[in-house]
Formats: sequence, structure tokens, C-alpha cells
Amino acid sequence: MNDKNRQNMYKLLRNLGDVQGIARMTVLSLNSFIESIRQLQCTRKELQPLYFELAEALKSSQPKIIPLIHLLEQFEEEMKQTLTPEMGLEEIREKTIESLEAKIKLFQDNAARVTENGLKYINNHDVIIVHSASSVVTNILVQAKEKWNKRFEVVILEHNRDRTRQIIQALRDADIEHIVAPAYDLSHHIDRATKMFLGALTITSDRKIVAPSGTAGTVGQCHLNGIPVHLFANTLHYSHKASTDQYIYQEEEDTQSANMDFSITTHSHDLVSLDLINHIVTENGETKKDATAS
Amino acid sequence: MEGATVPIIVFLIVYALITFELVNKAVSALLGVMVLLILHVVDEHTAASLIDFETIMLLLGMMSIVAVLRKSGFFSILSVKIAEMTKGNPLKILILFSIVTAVLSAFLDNVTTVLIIIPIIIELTRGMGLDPKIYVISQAVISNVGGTATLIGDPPNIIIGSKVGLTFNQFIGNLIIPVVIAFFATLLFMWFTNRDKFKPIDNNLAKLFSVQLLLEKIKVEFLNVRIDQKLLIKGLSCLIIAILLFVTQTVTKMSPGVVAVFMAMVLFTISGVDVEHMLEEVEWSTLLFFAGLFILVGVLEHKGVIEWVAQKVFLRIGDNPYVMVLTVLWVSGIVSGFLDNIPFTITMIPIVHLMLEVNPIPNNILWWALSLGACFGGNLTMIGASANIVSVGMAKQAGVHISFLEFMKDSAAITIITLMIASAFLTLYLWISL
Repeated sequence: MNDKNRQNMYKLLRNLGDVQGIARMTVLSLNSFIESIRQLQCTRKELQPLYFELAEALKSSQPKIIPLIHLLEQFEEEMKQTLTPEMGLEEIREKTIESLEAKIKLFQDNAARVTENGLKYINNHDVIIVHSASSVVTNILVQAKEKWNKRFEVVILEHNRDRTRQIIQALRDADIEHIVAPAYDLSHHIDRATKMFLGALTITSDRKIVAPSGTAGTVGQCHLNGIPVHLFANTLHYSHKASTDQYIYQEEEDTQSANMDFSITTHSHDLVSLDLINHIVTENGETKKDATAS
Repeated sequence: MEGATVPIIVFLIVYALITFELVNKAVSALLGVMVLLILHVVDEHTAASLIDFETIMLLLGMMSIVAVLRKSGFFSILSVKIAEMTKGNPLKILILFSIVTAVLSAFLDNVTTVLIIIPIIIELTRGMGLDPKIYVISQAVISNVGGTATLIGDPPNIIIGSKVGLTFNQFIGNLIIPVVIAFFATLLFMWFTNRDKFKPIDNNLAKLFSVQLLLEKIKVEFLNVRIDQKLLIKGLSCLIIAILLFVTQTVTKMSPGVVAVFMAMVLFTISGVDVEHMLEEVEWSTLLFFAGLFILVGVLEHKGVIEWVAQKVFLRIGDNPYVMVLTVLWVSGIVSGFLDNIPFTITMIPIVHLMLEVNPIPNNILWWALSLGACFGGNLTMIGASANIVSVGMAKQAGVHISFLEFMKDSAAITIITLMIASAFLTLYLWISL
């Protein structure tokens, strides 16, 4: 894969990740992998190197998609053990698809268990702040209303139009009381807030979380005001590596105000210290903050 | 030709303003009309009577139906589905999008069609690392070819149909063969001249993977409007009923203009849409442009200018039907490549009427020559048809610059090929008819 194709792929992953969130992005990437394998026309000899080339490229994405990396590592390990020289092209294709489908199921099962575990953190009359709600957080809110008939209110802090639209749609469909406010307006809602919920792209080995831009400010404000912050993420989000090794993408955009030209430097994601998080909930229940990737 | 000097000068100035896009088209035409009114060349009542309201009603009705369909999300669903069906295969992108463009432009106006197709085709091809230019040019050209097939597909046909009284079925029945042949010839030409750019990607896993992501991104971007299924069903039903009424025009005796406005009003009533908002989507400037041009050409006709032009230019070629048909076809084709084909068609209608008085060529073949020439000819240059200008403009907005010559390199050759196909068809048709 040449550098242009690789950068093109990373840009697509970033764009989709921004809009869809990391959980959907992980499933989407695995589904795309499966569909590409179905369409691939090549010889038996070419197949394995092509798989591993793509898996390798995905593992180096900017920023790193940790759940996907873990699942691809498992996939590669399985394939190395499964593939034998006697296997034909179609058999390999079948085994590969089977393995990737199992990875999707694993990820979805874990996410469902996190959702299940998260339900008990919602009480009647809660006012819950969400910022860039992950699909797990959205599912917890919806199921708390639909399954347990909890009565609570959500303050949605807008940061990305598409993501905000998605959570508004989900809350409207579930008939959950909510208001939408700009993230910079949080101080006007903080007094009545009882909790903050968030998801994360990655939990790093140096005890930080990689989360969508703007999360750090919101978490910091909640922490200062004594609002308990709950992080919901399955253990596939735990990285073996430090925050400096997450390939957080930096972008410079030229802009102009009056007659002055200047560039704005932005980063694709925020880093938030785990010290500011009160509860970490995984598929295994509430986890200690010093737990790292195993 | 007494008192014709002022309307001729006004007409030529308006034509120049329109061609070189110095002033908005509608403003140019209405400014010309106002000058004629102020100078008492024509009075208000006569001017109003010169407007062909059948054409205006057909355009207004179809624009209103399209506005509701657009709001329902129908066009977004359609374009995303086509993008998915291509699976990122460059040749499939060309073929499938061209089929959709041709069919849509046969039943909707060409500008609406390219507004739907061009953004998604640019997103798809650029995301795959392909050159979007050939796809943009091909869709603009195909929209003009596809629009030629029906009465409602292209403004010259709407004008001819209304002014001459030709029906929807007559248009589709007589023009479908040359249009289908021209469509395949255009595709073949685009493929043959760019065949190294249409190589499949199914042996490249990384590219296949990126295409899957890209299709997902397109889905997210283009389907971000809420799909209103009820509105979609009502809008499509009204469009289908309108087309059925066009087809059965000889039985119902309802003119296409009446059908279009009637179905649009029915749709507004049953859909409960915000009518004010929907009416904002109607291209009023286009309707005013048409109204102004009808008045300007009508005045020239009244003053005997059109008859003079016909006598001095077109009737000099004699009364040989083959020469007459091919002259109308090629003159229309070449002139429409450089001038807007709408005013040209409006100008040519009385001329063709006069030519038919000299030799009544059967089966409306001279009208089909005008239609094929004016519609296919619009492909000759970037400024020959509104769809070309809009497509190139949208490409530029997306960072894809297509120069006048780049466009013409492919489009001029296609125009010559399609006009040759039309020549062969009309010659054969005439030979059978005589």
C-alpha cells in the first residue's frame, strides 16, 4: 500500500470516527474488512500478505483505534494458527470471514455488557451531562428509560453537529427529557447536574483517556464542581501504550480575521487524566482506576 | 419590416448579455421587454399575450413536484443506493450513474439532475483517488442526451412541444431510438478515450477496504436529512400520475402544463408541506427568463423579422427535404453549442413553421431535427447548456477545476458523434416517410 492510499484511508477513518464514534467505527471497519475480502480477486499466494498488509496499516491509524487494534491482533494470531499450506483460496476466505465475524460479536457482546452494567448508575431525578456521547452511553440512557422506566434529564453539550444530532434523535425516540446547550455554557447547568457520563477512544497505560475534543474542559469543570464523572468503556479500549503513542492527529488550518492571517492548530482528540474520573465501568463491572491493559 | 430596428437592436443586446453572462438571464430578458414597452414598440397587453403560458405552467409544475421530492430525501436515497451498487468499480461508476442521469434527466430538468448526481460522484471518485473530471463531464453530457428523449426532459423540447402542439408520446416515440444510440455511443467514447482510468480495483484489498469506508461516509453525509417516507410516497405517486397523464394526453385532452400544475397543487394539498418554503425552491428566475424571451421573439415575429431571416437564410437552401432537415439539425447543433439553446429554439420555431410552408415534411421530422440539434448541440462547449455550466461550477466548488478546453476535448467529439447519429436517423426516417 503506497503512502497516498494509506493517508487516504486514515483520513476516512478519522472522518467516520468523528461522526460515528469509536464503537461504531470499530464494527464498521471489521465489516468493511469482511466485505473487501468477499470482493477480493487474487491468487492463493497473494491472499495472506494482503490480509496482513491491511491489518498492519489499520493498526497504525492516526489516531490509533485501540479496540480495533486488539481485535486485529487476535485475528492475526488466529489466522497464523489456522492457515495451513493445504488450504485453498475459498477455504481461507471463509475462515477469515468467520474469524472477523467472531471479533465483531465479541466487541458487541462486551459493549452490551457495559450497557447492562451501566444501567444501575442512573437514578430517578438525575440530571446527567453528556458530551460527545458514545454509543454505549446513548444505549445506557435509552435502556434506563425503556427497560427500567427511570425518570431523568440529560444535558447534551454540543460539540460535533452530527454526533449531537444522533444523540438528540435517540433521546427523542425514547422520550427522554433533554436540553441541548453549547459546551461553553456548562456553568449555567452545573448546579443542578448530578452526574456526567462519557465514553472513550482509549484508556492509556499512563492513566489517561483519549476522548473527543472538548471533553477535557467539561470533565475538568465537573470535577471542580464535585459532579461525579462516569466513564463507560469495554476493556478492549485499554491500550498497552502511553498517551504519547496514540498518534493523536494534529492539524493546522489557515484562517483570517479582518486583515490578519493566522493558523489555528487543533488536535483530533483530548487527553484527560484518569484522576478526574470517579467511576470506570467495563463489561466486568466497576473497575479500579489503576487497572491497565492485560 | 417597418419599425423593426429597435426590437432587433434590443434582441441582439439581450442575446449578447445572456451569452456572455454579463447580466442575470432573467434580468436581461425582462430589461429588453421593458425597453420595448417604454419605447411603445409593444403595449403591455400584447406583450402578455405573447407569453407561452403552457411552457411556463409545465416548468412551474415540474419544479414544484421536484422540490417536494427533494425535501422527502428521495434523491439522496437514490444516489447513495447507486453509489453502493458500484462497489467502487470505476467502470460501474460511469455506467450506473450515467443510466440514472439519463433516466432522471428524461423526466426532470437537466440542472436538477446534475445537482443530484455531481456532488456524490465527485465525493466517490475523489475519495477513491480517481480523477473526477471525466465523470463530471460525462454526467453533464449524458444529462443533455437523456433529456432529449422526452417532452419534459429539456427546455427546447418543452418549448417545441408547447408551441407546436406535439405530445409526450410523440416525443418519446420519435426520439427514443437516436437518444438511446447516442447514450451508448457517449459511454463507449468516454470508456475508449479514458480506458486506462477504468481499471478494476478488486485485486487490491486496501483499496476495496477504503471504498467500503468511503461508501459509509457517503451514506452518513448524503443521508443526513431525515427521510420522510410518507412524503416520498406521495411525491413519487404524483410524479408517476403526472407522467401517466402526459402519456395519455390524447385521451384526456389535458395539456402537459395543466397536468404538471394540477399534480403539483394536489401534492401540495395532500403532503401538508410548507408551501411558502416549497415555492422558494421554484426557479422563478428561469420562468421569468422564458416569459421575457417569448415576448422579445414574439415582437420580432410581429414585425416580420423572423420571416425575413427565414427567407434570407433558411429558405435559400431550397426545398429538398434532406437538405432542410440536415441544415436545421446541424445549424441548431452548432449554434446551441455557443449560444443558449432556449432563446435559439424560441427564435427557430417560427422559422421552422415558415420552412414547413415551403415543403411540408411529413411526421414532424423537421421538429425532431430542431429538438435533436438544440439538445445534443448543447454539449459542444461548456457554455452550451445550463447543465454543463452547473456541473463545472459544482466541480470547481469541490476543488476540481475543469477548463473550457478540457471540457470541450471530450464534449465536442461527443457532440459530433451524436449529431452524426441524429443525421443518420433523420435521413433514414425521412427516406421511409417520403
